[in-house]
Amino acid sequence: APVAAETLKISSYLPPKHAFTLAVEAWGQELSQKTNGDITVEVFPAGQLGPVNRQFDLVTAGAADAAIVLHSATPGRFAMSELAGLPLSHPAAGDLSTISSERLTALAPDYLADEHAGTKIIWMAVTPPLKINLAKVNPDSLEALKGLRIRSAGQVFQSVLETLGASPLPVPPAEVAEGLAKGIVDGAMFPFEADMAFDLGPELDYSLEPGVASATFAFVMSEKTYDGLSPETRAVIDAMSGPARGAAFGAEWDKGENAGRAYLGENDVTIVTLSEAEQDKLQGMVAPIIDAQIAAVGKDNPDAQAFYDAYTQ
Amino acid sequence: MQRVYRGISLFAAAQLAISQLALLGMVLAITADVAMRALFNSPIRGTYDTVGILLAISALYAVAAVILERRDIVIDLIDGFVPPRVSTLLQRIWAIVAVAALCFLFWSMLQPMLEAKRYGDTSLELRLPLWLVWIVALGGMAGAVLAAVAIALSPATGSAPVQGEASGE
Amino acid sequence: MTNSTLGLIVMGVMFVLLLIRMPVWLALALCGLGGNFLMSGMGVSKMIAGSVPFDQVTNYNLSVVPLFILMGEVATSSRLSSELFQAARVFFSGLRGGLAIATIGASGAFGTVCGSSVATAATMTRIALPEMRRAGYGDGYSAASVAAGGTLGILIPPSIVLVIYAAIAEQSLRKLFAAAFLPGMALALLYIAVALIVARFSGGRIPADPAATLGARFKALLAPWQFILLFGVTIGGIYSGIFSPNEAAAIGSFGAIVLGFATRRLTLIGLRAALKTTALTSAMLFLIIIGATMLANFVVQTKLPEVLIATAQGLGLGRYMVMLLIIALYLLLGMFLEGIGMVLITVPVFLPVIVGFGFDPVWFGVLVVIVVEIGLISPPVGMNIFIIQAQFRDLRIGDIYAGILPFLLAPLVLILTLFFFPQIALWLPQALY
Ligand code: NA
Ligand code: NA
Repeated sequence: APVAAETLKISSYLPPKHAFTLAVEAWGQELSQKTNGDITVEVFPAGQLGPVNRQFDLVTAGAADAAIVLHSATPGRFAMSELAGLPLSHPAAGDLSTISSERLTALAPDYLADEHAGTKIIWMAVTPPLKINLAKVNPDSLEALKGLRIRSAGQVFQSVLETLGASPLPVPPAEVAEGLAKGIVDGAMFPFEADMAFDLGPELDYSLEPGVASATFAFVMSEKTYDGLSPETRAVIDAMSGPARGAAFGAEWDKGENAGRAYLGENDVTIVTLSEAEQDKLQGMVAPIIDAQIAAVGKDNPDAQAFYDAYTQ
Repeated sequence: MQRVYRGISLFAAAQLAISQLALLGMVLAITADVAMRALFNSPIRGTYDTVGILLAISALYAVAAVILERRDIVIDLIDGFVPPRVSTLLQRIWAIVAVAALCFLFWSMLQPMLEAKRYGDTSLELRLPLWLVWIVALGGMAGAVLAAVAIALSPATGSAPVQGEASGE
Repeated sequence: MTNSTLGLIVMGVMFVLLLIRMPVWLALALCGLGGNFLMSGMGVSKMIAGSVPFDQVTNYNLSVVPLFILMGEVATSSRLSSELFQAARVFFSGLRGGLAIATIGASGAFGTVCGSSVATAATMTRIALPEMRRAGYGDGYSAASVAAGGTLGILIPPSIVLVIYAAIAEQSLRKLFAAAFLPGMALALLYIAVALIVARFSGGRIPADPAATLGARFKALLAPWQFILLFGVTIGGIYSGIFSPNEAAAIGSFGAIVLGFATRRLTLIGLRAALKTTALTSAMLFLIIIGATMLANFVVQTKLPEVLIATAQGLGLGRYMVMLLIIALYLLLGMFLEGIGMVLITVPVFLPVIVGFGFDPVWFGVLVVIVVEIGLISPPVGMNIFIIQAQFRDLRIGDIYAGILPFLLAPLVLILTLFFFPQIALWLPQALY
């Protein structure tokens, strides 16, 4: 019904206080202000409307007007977008989320619109790269990671860990602290910010830089909802979408990452930086993973290599 | 009519057997995974996916038998207050409603199955095409629909539950 | 009509449908889908109908349910559980309701490690109920002991509900676990007290065996060594971190099967029967889980809790009145909604309110688990009640409801105590962290 469309439902599978949930809430409030209250927004956090792998479907089916989509939650569906999360792959300017989120949002209209058909992309986000955090072992060389059991979620992280000779284990995030304490896992792949959110400081001794790989997200709005809005409202939404928004959100994440780094310092966690030589070695080890993935995606999408190059430029 | 009912009973019994095997498979898959991890520090790749799929088979392929043996939970407090004829009538009505509801679920599951195929969705670990898992799930739902039809048509609906028919005991 | 009015009407309709004996899964599913249809249209209703069943039955974490049911079935088929209860019977002989104590204690111990009330109640139903009936206990009383005991595990850490609360409320899981420990123990004792009092005033309907000597009592405890071994491996494995609850459930089933065949107490026919019962019981539970998820999906969109709490706040109530109101709302919602669905719907709404009134979010987390536990055993929709009914078709659901009523007092007393002595929850986390 057209009247009901004035209140937009935004779905987030993340907790109410998570940076991403807060960001879409703030976005909704800004939209409400700029439309003089014509549009109001209701945010449904914590997966109230559906699990993480259904967020995109919620939007295309009309169960939500907008949602935060984690690309890796539906393997195969967002193959192109996920290329931005490949190991050690980030814009040449750096792996800050500010930079990578802005770049991915800028490239989205040309390369990623097909994957997000039926929706309008408000912004894309790339996490700061996930670090290998370890309970006891000092990761001063790649050799030290062999045989360790490391919590991870997602295909890319799994491949990297296996290449390093470690065993990936899919432990739910909330159980990682206990897993580390009991020695079920020797480490976990998380950004610093998540180390803090899950309070892993007391269990960790080391964390390894540089981060290995990133997760990618899209904040999308239903095309049907968008098309049903007044031209003025659509103009407001257009102005509130795009690379600048991606950069602004990325900056929030970078801030969280810095806070997480400080938190680890307070908990006496040593952040080890891999030597140049070891970094080169790692680059060489993950290169086949990157090539294979681009080739696999390239079979259905001839732009895969071009997109990857444009992203890492 | 009797032959339709018998046919559906056999079908439900076959599905139940598959469900039992899937259950046993789940036990063995997880035990093997833990054993490999504990003894050789090398967990079996894809256990997470395998268990998810076996769980789907185990849960859905027993639904037909649940319906056919009328094992679904009913709050029967009313039976003490109304004549048996009313209870029988209600049972018949809900049996027909169940057919409609299960048909709706089956029909609704077709679209995500087709989308999983079109978009190339895969499972998390093994990268199996997810639409195949949807087909398996639809098989279970089809059995449930048939069982509900059998119950709705059965002259026995409303009388005491018929135990053990689906399992051929 | 506002969405929250629609929500109230749909809940009312569901109450009626349940009363006129619509199968529970069907009532939950139809109200969830119908509500969504009325609120958002066919497309949304269809999307939920198409995705929820698949997402639930492929959910790895739910594998814990059939696996623990299977363990209980096999243990029963190979008479391990009857040995255990024989021992309990001797140990508690001379005491009216002694087997209920054993049931509540064993459920508490089992649920403590397994963390899922559904799995615990399913396992303990199979293990404890036949033995209590054999000892001449009334059906309602026996079933109520299992149902109530089965909820203990989600309060005594580790607890899935607390994990979810911690994620939504962004509270330290360790603190929450520590906070829930003493209330969990207290609740076990309260349930035991209720069981003893009910037995005392049963007018002889809950019999007592003649008292055995002290020596005989302790000797009896060693007889069920196989069960103790199985229990020990399962529980010990989780606590020492060798495996997760799901894995423990599979290993427990595997161990029970191996033990059964090794001691020639389990036959191939027995195993097939155990697999069959497990498949049927868990399929039935999955139907209800699917329906409950569909209903929760609708209720959350009606913003019912929000509207009710806003109304209450509008009345200018004080902090304790607001908290009492929240508890009353939980009791009401708990009649229809289950565990995780209820936490998902309510916590994001209530948490800012209670924090605003100066309540401790960790303390509130403990409270939420207790009201969720009540929801699991409160009529008409109570998962633990359904689990028992699913496994013993000849039990009358009315008898179970009646048996449950006195047990509902225990968590209510605990909530009241937590109001006056919040330190019961807050002391341990403060001492530890
Ligand atoms: Na527990
Ligand atoms: Na209830």
